[in-house]
Amino acid sequence: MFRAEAASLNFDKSTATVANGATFQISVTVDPGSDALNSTDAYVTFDSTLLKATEVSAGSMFPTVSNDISTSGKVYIAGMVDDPASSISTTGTLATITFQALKDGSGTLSFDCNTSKIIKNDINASNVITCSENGTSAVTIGSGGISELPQSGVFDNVVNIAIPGMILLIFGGIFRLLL
Amino acid sequence: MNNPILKKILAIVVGIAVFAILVFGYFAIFGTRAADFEPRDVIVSNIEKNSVRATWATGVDSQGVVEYGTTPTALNFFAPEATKVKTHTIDLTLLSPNTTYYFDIRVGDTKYDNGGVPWTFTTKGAEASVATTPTATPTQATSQPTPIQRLKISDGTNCTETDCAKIKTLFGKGCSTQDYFLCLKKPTTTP
Repeated sequence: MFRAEAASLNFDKSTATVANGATFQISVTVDPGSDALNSTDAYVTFDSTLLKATEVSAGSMFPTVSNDISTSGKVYIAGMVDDPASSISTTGTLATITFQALKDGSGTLSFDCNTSKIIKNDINASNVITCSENGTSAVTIGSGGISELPQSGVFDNVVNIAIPGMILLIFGGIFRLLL
Repeated sequence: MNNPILKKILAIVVGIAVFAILVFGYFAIFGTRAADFEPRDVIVSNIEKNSVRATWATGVDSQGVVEYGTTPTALNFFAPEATKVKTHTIDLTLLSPNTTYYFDIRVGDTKYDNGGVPWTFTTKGAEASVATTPTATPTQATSQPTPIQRLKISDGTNCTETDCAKIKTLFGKGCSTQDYFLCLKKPTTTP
């Protein structure tokens, strides 16, 4: 099985569809690539008008996980080993985030790679994250913000003309009888 | 009124009048209104160092132009749409990093903005920021910028703490796990 050599952050779902007001969960996974890791800092960004992060539960990858969901539009998750001499070399789940859908629309969950880090177990605690390998997740709430179905222009025009035409026909018939 | 020609002329005149009233009334009720062109659900997303994506919706098919610039009074750059649509998406590219931009949306001869001021966003750069996701209450444009919303969560690049245990309590508040392990692994001098 192919395995990427670069360390990266991903979501367990590349797409998610949810009803307005409902909650859904999405997990953040860490691929160490070819490295042995000590820790990870993941900053997940999203449209705060569409989604609200309500809870973060620790995954099984790291023994210690902390988080911060106090800022709208952003979730911070840190995971690390307890013993600096130990490391993790297999892909795992850092944490699972619970989101609440706030309104119809569509948006993207992504990682802020300016600040997210994957820390290698070396003397320099090197950041080995490869931003181009990070994943995203497309979230659609309700109908995706489209309030009506696409309309056929031909059908619309026929209806626009036919309704006044039908009424006129009825009036014409009445006038024909009266006059 | 016994003249049959007069009756026919009268019927035609009345028919035309009724038809005109019906058509005018129908389109007044069900036809396209100016408000249908007003952008709603204006959202700026996919904010990168050099590009962003602007999306909005209109009640009818329309073809808009995003007018943007680095000051609210000089929206000198234009990003037109290629086709008429109800769900609009435009990528603004070739932007400068870490720069606040202002924009409005022009549909035909009408300019729409965020309640009298341009919408704003800030591209990514040394200092992270989030997009404003304005609620569309379009009016005629004036010249006051919308305040930029700054992040509360730190980017983990300002850690000045030297106590490893304290660094651990400051994750996401100025320190990162990288700072923690650097602290743990730094060489210690033996007398």
